[in-house]
Amino acid sequence: MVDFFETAMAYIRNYIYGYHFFIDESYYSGLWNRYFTAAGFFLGAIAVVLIYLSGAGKNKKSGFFRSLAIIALLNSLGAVYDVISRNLIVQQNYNYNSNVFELAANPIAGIILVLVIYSCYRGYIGNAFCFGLITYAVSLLMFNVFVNSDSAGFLIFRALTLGFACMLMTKPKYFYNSFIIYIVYYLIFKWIQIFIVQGIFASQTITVEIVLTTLRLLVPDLLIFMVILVVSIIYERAVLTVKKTVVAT
Amino acid sequence: MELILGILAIILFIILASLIMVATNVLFDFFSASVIVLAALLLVFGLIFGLIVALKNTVKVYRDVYKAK
Repeated sequence: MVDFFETAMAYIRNYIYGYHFFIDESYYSGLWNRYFTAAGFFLGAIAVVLIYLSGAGKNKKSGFFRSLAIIALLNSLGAVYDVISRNLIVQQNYNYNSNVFELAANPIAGIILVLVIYSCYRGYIGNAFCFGLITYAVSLLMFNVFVNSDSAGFLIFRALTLGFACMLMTKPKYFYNSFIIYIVYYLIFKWIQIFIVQGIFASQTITVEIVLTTLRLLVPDLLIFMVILVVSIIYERAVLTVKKTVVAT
Repeated sequence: MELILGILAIILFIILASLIMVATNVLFDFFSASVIVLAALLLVFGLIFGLIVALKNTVKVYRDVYKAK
């Protein structure tokens, strides 16, 4: 018990220490230097406009802060996914979350994203597109992807496609249908990333062994998707339907 | 005069826009740090509150069923 509290306290101390840059003056001067360049100004302006447009509802001012908070949450869930995939399931051969542009590209962030799109963006198809786009693009725009990344084209294309996927996710009647759209989107882009962008199996012909190895890399993702999908299908088709029938009688 | 005013307006616009971008970035980092902790706290308090309510209901049902006899 004492060990648990000591570990928890150490974790809290590390967490606070990780964000001590807020009281550091160089953090603010660094930001000013980043946005006061031509490329930084251009990318920052796109980020601010997209965040503004991604707010659902009539009040755009509160929508800006709301969507900024949700986008920040989605981009901070990479650490949670890392902990789950490392401790719970299998050791992965490569760590794709170490990249700053991959923070929101994980199933945990995907679940929250689909929940937000399904519950808040019905009828706001344009805002849903902007929300999906900026969820992946915010790190690209804030960290200046053109300077830092070799696969900028893929990352921009992936962000744009998430925007279109979010537009589709506003349509279905049930949450699990929207979630299936996200699963398909996620798996397609993960395979593209593994085979083409990161080139892990690029030089080899695709065999059964390689497919199985890829599936092993995707085991944590597939397990998380399966659990959420089964729970949501049971809840929406069994529990909610029964409740409606009871209310009707 | 108009030209100078125009140039000043452009400079002011660039400075204001840069300040808005810096503020947005600071807010983004702040939300990244705080929202996940708030969400975790909310989850923990929700679980504790739900457990207390469930225990209360269990005790109440036990009393109603067995003490009534």
